[in-house]
Amino acid sequence: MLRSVYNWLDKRLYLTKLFQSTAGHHVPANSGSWFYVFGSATLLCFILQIVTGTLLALVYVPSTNEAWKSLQYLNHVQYLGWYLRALHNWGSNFMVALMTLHMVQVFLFGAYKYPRELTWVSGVFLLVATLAMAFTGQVMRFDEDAYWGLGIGASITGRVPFIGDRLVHLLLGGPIIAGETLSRFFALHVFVIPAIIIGIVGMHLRLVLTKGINEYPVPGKPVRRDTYDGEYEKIIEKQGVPFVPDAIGKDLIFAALVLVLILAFSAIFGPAGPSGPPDPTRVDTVPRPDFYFLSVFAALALLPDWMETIVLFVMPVLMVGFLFILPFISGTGEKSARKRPVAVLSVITIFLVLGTLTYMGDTAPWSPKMNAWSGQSVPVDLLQHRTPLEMRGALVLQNKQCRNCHSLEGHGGQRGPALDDVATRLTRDQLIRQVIQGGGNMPAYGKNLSPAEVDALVAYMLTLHPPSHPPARDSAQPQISGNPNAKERGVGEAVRKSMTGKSQ
Amino acid sequence: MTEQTANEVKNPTRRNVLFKVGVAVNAVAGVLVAIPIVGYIFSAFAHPKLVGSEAWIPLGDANTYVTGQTRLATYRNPFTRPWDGATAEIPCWVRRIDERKFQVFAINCTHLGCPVRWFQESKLFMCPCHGGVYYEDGSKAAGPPPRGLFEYSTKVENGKLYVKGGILPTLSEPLTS
Amino acid sequence: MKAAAAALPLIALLGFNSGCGKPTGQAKQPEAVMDFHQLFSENCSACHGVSGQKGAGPRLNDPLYLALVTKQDLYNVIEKGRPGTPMPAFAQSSGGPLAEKQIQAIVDGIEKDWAKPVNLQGAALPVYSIAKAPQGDAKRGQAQYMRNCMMCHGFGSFKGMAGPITDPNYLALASDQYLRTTAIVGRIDWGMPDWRHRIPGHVMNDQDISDVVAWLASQRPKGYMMAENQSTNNSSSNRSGPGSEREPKQ
Repeated sequence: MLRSVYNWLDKRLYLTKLFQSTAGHHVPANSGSWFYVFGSATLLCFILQIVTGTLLALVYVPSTNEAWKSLQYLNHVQYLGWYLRALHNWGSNFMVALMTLHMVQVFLFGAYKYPRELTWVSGVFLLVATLAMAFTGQVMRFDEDAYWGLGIGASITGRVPFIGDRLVHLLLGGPIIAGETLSRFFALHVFVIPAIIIGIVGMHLRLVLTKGINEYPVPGKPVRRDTYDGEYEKIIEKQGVPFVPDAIGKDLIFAALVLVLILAFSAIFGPAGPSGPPDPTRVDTVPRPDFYFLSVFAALALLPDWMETIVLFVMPVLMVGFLFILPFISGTGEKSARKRPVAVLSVITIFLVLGTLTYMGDTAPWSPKMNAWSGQSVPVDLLQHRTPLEMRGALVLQNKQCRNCHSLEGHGGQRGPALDDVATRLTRDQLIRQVIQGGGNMPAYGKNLSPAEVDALVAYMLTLHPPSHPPARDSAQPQISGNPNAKERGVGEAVRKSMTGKSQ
Repeated sequence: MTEQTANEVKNPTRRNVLFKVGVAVNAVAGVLVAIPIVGYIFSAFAHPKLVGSEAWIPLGDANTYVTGQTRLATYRNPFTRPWDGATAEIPCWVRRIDERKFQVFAINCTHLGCPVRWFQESKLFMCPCHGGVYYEDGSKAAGPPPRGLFEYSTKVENGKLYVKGGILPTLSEPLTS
Repeated sequence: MKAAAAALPLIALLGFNSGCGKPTGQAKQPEAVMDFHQLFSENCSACHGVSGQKGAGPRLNDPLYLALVTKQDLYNVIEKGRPGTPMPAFAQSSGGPLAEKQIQAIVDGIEKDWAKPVNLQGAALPVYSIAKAPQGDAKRGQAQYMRNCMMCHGFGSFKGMAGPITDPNYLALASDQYLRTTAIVGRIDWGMPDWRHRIPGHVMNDQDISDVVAWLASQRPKGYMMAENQSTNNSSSNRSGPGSEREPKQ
């Protein structure tokens, strides 16, 4: 009975033929490897994203007035709304991670070489499209980070020469971040980019079918344009197996593992945000990008100023451009990573760089700690046995927001050097000059400190040295003997004179 | 190949002509469809300055700003849509120098647009993103910003403070003064 | 068996809906914070110390000080700050971060946690405000200084163990009110006794305290008048002090 139904259908839909030319196509037996599971797992994540994304769109309102409230509704009111948000969030994290693994595997196994150049190129398009999904998705979570993330995006766009201002208008849908901006990103995130991804994934998969899956590379067997096609045919003939059911087993197991992990991560860690409402008038915010863009965030803090615009626009073009031409400049030769030390080293280097930048982006030592001046007290042992003047100096240190950039015993900003042992590094005169004139990325405080404040502050900083390590002294002058108190007063007067002199 | 084409030109069959005509009319129709689509998407290029996207906006009674102090003020974006919500309220820093002179700075750091915060005690603006620092007068003090804070043009009329605003200031489109 | 199989996903669903990843509350707005300890830790602890003492600034975890000042005094100072001193204004109306009710929460928290009945052992509590205190006499103040303060703070070439308070830069940064408050309550957290316990068997009275403050103020160099003093003490019209020098010069 069933058989006859199938036969009836098959005569009309050509199911057997479809199966043979797709899922049942023959692949090299050795490609049924644990290394070959990342591509299918990435696709699985993408499908999960479509499902969860569609479900979220049932509730989410893409309006700047309502988006944040509808996220709150999803989190707190809608039954399992929080879990669907979590699945969408963790699904995206897993998708980016698995896509990266897939790409590294393809690169190290030489799978981008002849004749699979276009498979690689379409994969690079997918990489760019997925990162675009990550950025637009961060905007969908329309909270304060999303608002200021858009501001950062607009500021970067505004650096494009000549047409920067119009590109900003194009990006924001107007001269300023407002209602149209979110609608625009919603259309990109929900219609445009997913459609592009679906199209390219189709091409990607068709290329896998027409050009065959890469055989497990053997060291010492380089790819040659004139012989490879014949060699591959022989491999398929000799040890080809149908992908389903012979080679898909590990993909299935890994896919299930990924699903379970996404479910578990979502249940344990929950959804991301939303943080505070997207109200630009709340200026006590510390915007941070999502995980994927922390490395860019870090690079923008660490680069010399003059390089920024170049790096922002030239580097991505160079990097993506390099990925595009990679199969054309090294389309032949060794496939096995064992014989490609440069390839292995580049992967390691790239990940070390990205890893370091991401870590730094996460800790952001260059950002002032905006509340340190009012929330981080001076450690008690750094106040003990200080004179009243030095105590007042410690108060000046707090009051003038020095702690936002300088730490004491590890608490405070990391932008400037820690002050715990500043007296071992700078003499009194150097301290005075540094405070008044600034320099080395420190603002000049000359206008904002009275002579007495400078004197008290410097007197306090001169006490900041380990007991075993005497303060630095001016080697050009003999050590002062006698009443140090008198000297303090003398220098204080010198400061006062120099400052009043300057200001006249 | 060229011979064949030449042959076809010499002896056009009915199908051949129909196909070519079909391609041609569709090309024309395609262009016609593309005009409104491209125009819609790239309206930013068609009208670079949205009909006076900057306007004079009242920031309230000038006397609410204390001389010698810098305060946060907010204004309503002059060109709002009803669904803008909180994003229609734009903050800015107002510094009153003396009876007559005001300086109003955009909230956005000139480095990457993050909101700078004013610190009254040290008289500095600090940015929480990459550590840009500005002096009281908006000039750059430290950090990566390429220039001082964006500054609105201001005027005082009938005791009210006005700024000219309405755009997100960026390096390529700083506020017009 | 079948029922169990059907119940399993149901239980899983219920479990998910109370999963540990489920968001519990909304991100709290800064103005919504009303907890005294959090408010104090974020806004005050930097200068006044983690638990209101052993900081660089005045000690608030001090029953004696809290007996001296009223809740209104505390509120006013937090709200408007003390211009010319390191105490900033915290009220939003003065450009600070705190809403009125948060300031009230801090005042209430300070009183609730740290104010205790003080056994004055018969001594009268001196007047707090410099405006209401008796006029000080600098000449007599010097004698009071020698008697009550010199042992620790030194005089001339004699250096006390606590360091000088006649240093002009110190005096430039210490308002008369600050000097008076400190002269009364001391800094017990740092080892400075209050007005009753400087010399055995001797309690300074209101006049003594005013005199000492007057003498210390007279040691302040000309042009070193604090802005706070300028507003409370109109006898001095010297306006070239640090307060005005703060303004940018052309």
